[in-house]
Amino acid sequence: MEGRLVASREQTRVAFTEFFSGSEPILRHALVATCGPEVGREAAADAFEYAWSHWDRVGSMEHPIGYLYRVGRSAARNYRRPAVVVDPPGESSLPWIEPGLESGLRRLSDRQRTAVVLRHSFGYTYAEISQVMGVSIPTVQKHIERGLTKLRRRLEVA
Amino acid sequence: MIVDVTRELERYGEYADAIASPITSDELSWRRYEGAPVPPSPRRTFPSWIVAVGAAISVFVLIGGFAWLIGGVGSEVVDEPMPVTTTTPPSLPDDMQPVAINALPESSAPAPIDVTSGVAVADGTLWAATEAGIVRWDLEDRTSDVFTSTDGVPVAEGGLGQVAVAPDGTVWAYTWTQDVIMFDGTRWIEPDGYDQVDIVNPRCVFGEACLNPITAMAIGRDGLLSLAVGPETLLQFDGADWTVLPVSDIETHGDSASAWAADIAVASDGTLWIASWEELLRYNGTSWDRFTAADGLPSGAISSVAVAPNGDVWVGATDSFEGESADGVARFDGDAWTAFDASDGLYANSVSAVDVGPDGTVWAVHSATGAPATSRERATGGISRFDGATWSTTAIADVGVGFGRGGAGIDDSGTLWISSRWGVVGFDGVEAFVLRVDGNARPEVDVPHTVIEGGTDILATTIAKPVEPAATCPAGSSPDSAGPLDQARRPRGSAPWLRAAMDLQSGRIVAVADASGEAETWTFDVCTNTWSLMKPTGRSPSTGVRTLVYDTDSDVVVSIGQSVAAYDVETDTWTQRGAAPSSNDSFRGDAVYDPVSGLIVVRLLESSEMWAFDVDDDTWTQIRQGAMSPPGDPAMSTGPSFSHQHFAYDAATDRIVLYLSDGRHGPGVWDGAGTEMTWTYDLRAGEWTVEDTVTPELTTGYFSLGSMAYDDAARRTVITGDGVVAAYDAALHDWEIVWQSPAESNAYGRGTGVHHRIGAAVVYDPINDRIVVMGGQARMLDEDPFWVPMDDVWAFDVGTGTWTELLPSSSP
Repeated sequence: MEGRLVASREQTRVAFTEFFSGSEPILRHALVATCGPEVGREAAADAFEYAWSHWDRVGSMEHPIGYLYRVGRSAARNYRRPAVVVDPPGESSLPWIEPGLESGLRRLSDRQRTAVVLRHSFGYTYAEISQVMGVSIPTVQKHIERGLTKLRRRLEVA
Repeated sequence: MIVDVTRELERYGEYADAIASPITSDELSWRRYEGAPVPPSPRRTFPSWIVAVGAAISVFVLIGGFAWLIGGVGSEVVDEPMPVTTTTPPSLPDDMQPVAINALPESSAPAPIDVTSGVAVADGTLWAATEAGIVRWDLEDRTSDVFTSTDGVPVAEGGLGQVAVAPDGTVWAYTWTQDVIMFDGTRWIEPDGYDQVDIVNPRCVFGEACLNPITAMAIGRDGLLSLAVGPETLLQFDGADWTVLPVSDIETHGDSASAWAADIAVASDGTLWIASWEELLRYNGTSWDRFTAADGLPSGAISSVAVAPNGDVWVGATDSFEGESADGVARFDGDAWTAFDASDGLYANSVSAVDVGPDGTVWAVHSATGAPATSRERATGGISRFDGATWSTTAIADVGVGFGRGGAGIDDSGTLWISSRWGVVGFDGVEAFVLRVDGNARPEVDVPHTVIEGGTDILATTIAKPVEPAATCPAGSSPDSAGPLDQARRPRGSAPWLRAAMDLQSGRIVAVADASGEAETWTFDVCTNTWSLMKPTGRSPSTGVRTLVYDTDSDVVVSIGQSVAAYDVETDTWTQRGAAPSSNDSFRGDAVYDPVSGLIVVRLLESSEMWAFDVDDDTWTQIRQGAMSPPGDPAMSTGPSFSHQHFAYDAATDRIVLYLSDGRHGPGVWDGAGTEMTWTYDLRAGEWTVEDTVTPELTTGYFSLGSMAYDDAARRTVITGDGVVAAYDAALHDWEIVWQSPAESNAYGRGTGVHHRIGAAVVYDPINDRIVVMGGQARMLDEDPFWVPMDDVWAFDVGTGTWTELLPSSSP
């Protein structure tokens, strides 16, 4: 009995570790895109912690990353501070970004911002974005097109 | 200025990666520490004390490494050994350094789960009655299950009492309000015959209003269940029959609350020992005996009782109702009582629980004193252990007030498990552990049965479970294309005031007409833009439907009006609920769903009261609103008053947006001469903010008769009415007119979009990221009468300010 339990735990550990290694970047990036770097990272860690605690259920899902993305978004709402897209400028070691980008991204819808940032900031494919956001590829395309149009308009691109 | 947007977005990726570094497996291990501080990101600093605690924890992490991860998989709880703190409370002697079980900073502490009154251990399983439901922990792998109202546990019915395990493994529990339940392995059910038991307080003249509470429970080796009901009744169940025994045969036994039983223990021969605060009762199946301080018992209130394997009876005492000071524990060897107090080596004289292990070791649990029993303040409690000759003590830090007041249990290994407001504390003689349901994983809602005057902060303390993703349109569908014109739909002239809500799981909008008589139920598929007339079973809302709201975690649409009902699209079933609170015969209120608490929040226009509704338990709880709240109806208020309101939950700011209008409209006033206000409500803080001071005046026209919904894609609350669409950004405190009817159709209800219209239903469609507007009456000045009922459906994109016709109007 004890031997089976240990073996079962080992299988679970291996499965979770494999999932975590493969999905950590995109889940973190997706929540960063939605909620901003600090809140998004915390939300991603919360989501993985949730997955770990509920692996028997999460591990059997067809699209666990999409589910955990929603778990992370839900968790971010409990942080008692509004999600921000870009944190205030900090140390000089951070890469410089266009000042108008913050307000531009903030004015996009969550889905537009998430799709745009995942595609153009982190380089994910439409299929990968579709999976994490739980929407079809054409919808991803629509969000990206609309988001970029709004961003260009706001940043006064000719 | 020319900006390369894609290049800027690439830089943003580098910027974000510099802040949001990859999450490591070690970090996950850290986080499993009951809110232990997360390793700081590059831009964070922590107070030195957090760093010190983190350093202590890191030693464990380095030793345990990732392998520690293995043991926690599959568990909802945190159950790891905690490091011993290096500080000693100044009030404690040097030899009582506390074992810390909870060294987390306040800011990262999950919501505590109050273990109200029950802990039982049997066969490697720990059962606890908590404010969230009944929790079952497997003590070997530390996994847990939480049983709530959906499993048959009457969480909302006045609070769970003790939990006990019978020799055959059956688990029993009860509530303060006389619910008795047993676990059948899957669900919690009422035992056979209990509904026929008459245990109403015979002295009560108000019927159930003064129901005697069940206050204690025990099960003997023969499986006989004993329940103490009020001060006068002992209820027993032998597996077939229920027996009601009057305790009042004892003439000297009081009938006040101080005579209620606090604990019951069963000796191996079946003798019952009942601690009833002011005395100790013994019942051998035929006769009663009574023991008091005159017999050698402690002078305080007898709070707990236990029977040792050798037959000795142990009691513990706390301060009594009458102010008598507790004086420790006492042992009855069958002939005489022997008392022990602090002078004999006890940690303290006040004892909240006493128990005896299978090896005869006696444990006494001591709660912190000097703070209200309901306080969640951190406090140090204590444990005393008697090996038959001497007492030894241990202080346990941060267990909170009330440590042990919900009882304690001992497992086969000799570990003592103690109830606390911060979880179940385990102590094996050396280390302390805590089993706790993570606040974020808390799966159900606990709603107090009794409304507290002035409201509660239930929205701040209740957390709903995460919800599965919503429906999406199937591949190949064309949600932006108009649905077939000749489809069945509601007759134009029938009840134009339409109420609607989006059912996320089915991807359909549920619509019910605000009419008298039994309303028709329709659904609108947002992927095909087609209506369906439903043929629901159950009784549809029969009176005026004021508002529809979709309860996400229960997956039902709730209709609130003069009656309350819940509709399940998948089963096409209406289920009636109890009436909504109202100060008027005609309910006038609006509702939103709060995804954080999982509750429906209602504001009554007449009284300005706010209520939270749990559709599963059919319970209403009044919500605290703080010192300043919006005014209500003119007939009910003094000063500024408003007869119309719209209500929406703003997910971006986690606030409710309330739009109030005095209802003045029409020629001469529609251009802004009326009065309106915007308020926001912080659900977690329970406070209102009036936004008018920072909001440009909004010329509302017929907004008072319009409709409002939150657009999750635009992150703004959208209101429509009389040829204008406006959006409110709660983060920027800013109203913006996002669309106005073109001049050429300004007076008519025709043209692209929803022009001058009132009474339309406005719903956010998250599947297609759009606002859907349906029904209502259009103002057409070339018609007589000029208010014409409409049956068209439109979509509005707040970002672009454009309309898409989803279903053209039928011929009049």
